[in-house]
Amino acid sequence: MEITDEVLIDLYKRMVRVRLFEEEAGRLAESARLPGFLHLYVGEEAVAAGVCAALKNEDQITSTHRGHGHLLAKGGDFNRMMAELMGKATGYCNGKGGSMHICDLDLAMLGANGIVGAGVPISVGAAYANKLTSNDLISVSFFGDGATNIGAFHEAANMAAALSLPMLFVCENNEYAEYSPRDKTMAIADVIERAAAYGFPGAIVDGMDCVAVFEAATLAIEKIRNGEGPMMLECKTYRFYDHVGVKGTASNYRTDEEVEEMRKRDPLVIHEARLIESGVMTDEEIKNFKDTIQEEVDKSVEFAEQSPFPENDDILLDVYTNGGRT
Amino acid sequence: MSTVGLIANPLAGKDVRRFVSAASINSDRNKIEILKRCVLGAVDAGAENILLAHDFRNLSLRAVESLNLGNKIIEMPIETEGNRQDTTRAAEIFKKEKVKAIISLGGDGTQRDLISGWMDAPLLPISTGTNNVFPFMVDPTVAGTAAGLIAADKLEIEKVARQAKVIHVELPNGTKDLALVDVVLVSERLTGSRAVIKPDSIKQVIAAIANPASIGLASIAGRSNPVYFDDDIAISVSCDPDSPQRVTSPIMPGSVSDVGITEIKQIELGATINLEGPGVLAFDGERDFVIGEEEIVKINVLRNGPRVIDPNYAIQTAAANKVFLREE
Repeated sequence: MEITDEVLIDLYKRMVRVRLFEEEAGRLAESARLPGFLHLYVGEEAVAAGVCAALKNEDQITSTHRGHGHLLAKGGDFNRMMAELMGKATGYCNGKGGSMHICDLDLAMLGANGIVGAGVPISVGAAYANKLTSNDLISVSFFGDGATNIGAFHEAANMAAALSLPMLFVCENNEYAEYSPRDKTMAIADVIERAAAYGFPGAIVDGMDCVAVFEAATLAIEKIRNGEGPMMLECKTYRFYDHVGVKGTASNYRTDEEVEEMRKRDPLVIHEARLIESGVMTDEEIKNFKDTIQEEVDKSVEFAEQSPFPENDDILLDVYTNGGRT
Repeated sequence: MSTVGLIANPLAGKDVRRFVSAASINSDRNKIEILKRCVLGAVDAGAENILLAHDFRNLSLRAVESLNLGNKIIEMPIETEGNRQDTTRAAEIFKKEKVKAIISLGGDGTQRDLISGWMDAPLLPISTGTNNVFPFMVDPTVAGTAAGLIAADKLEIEKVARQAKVIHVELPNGTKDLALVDVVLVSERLTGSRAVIKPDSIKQVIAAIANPASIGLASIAGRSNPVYFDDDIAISVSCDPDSPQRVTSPIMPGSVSDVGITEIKQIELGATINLEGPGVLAFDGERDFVIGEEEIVKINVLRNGPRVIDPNYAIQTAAANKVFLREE
């Protein structure tokens, strides 16, 4: 594992793709051009970028209700994502899943999930299949600190450990389960202690530093792929926007000062400064790359807005066999 | 006032070395139980007060909440930020309050943070970290008792403590830093996940304590040319992965590496030696500072560090002085 210029640039590009897409989605939601719930990942980009950069394309991931970042960091398509957010037929789920159900089996992204913690057992299933078929792949489950208070997580952790499955548990510990501070809902502060309880290793890393996440994920993945069983990577991170949307519900579960303080640790700003300081990218290269990605995002909005809604006749398609038709 | 200071690093024993070595996770619950035993030992030995340094997990507060020690417990009035400065600021307050002994839970890095706030602190470090050259593996009740006896003036600290060496570092930007065990130059480009994992990345080890029986980067020096706590020298070992001269060293728990070394040099206390970049400087096992091409780091080792209380020796001294005996 060498941190080459290529790795540093790759991490940056993954984070920028997530950030610019999500900022645009946030603006669209605030101006009522985008319907439904929107749980933004902004602030947590270093986790998805660092982990996905350490994976093979075929390694499976499962995601959360805050799942745009995971798919985008794994190479998701802006057009299909934006169309899905707008409920259009050209979207990843033909417009019937929305923000919380985005998936792309071609990228081995087995799905975001509207139910907290529900993605973790799905990852266990994928890991079990990997083990049974000896395909040298691992599965990764992203989940939040709150998800580890849910029964599904515990069943999944137990099964992954008992069967010694090739699976990386990635806890995005942003200190809040929706609107509930972690210390009001958990008697422990570090989720890796739950890994130890189920009998597998875990480690904590700074989730605001994409290089730290990449290094840690690479170390764990190598061991997991070598058959050493599951591991947990706990990334201490923070979401800059509210649980839902941009302005959210304005409930006072955290202070503006806290958010401002954490914004000083913006993973994109930190990494951008590092790239410039070390001469890996110039100001101009960074600006050009951002402009290119923003253009792609703008085109995806245009694509989505011009795309049709799903046909009424297809409402049961993908729900029942033959779309409910006899 | 016969006060014992108490501090714990919640993050000690939880870094990425758990992926690549046999290091275990040291849970908050375990640390709370250790803290409890320290407090009970100290109070039983005669400490009138325990000054609790807040940590961002409230480990110390949670440890004492069921002990019903009333006004013996004093909470330190500081806000925590969840970083190493919490430990340093707590040490500054310990110094201001003139506590007679500090029990500090963590690894080598934690003790480093502490002395950044009080260089010659009366320190009883207890191991809860990953690499633990400096802190003691000791039953916390015994450690608490030792600290309590010193606080209560039943033991003279001068008779049971020894002053440690400190590695003083002047960084290329002029700022000063320090380490208690080792400063290591590694051929990485960033601090990343902070731990030093790759033995081939190690370019030079400067160790104030190089114990061949220890775990961590200093074991490279320790197994090449031991330097102990009381020796008035330090040691420098230059490394090269292609060197035919090899030393087997447990650089992480359960992880023994074959490290190529090229030169071993003793360093007199007070003498200045230079390390040249590029690379990353690791302090007491953690990558902490990036050094550019041709940048120079100045290092010298002095014996002006914490007065380290050896809990076993302290208890043995107390027993020899019949401190534990009394007539009803």
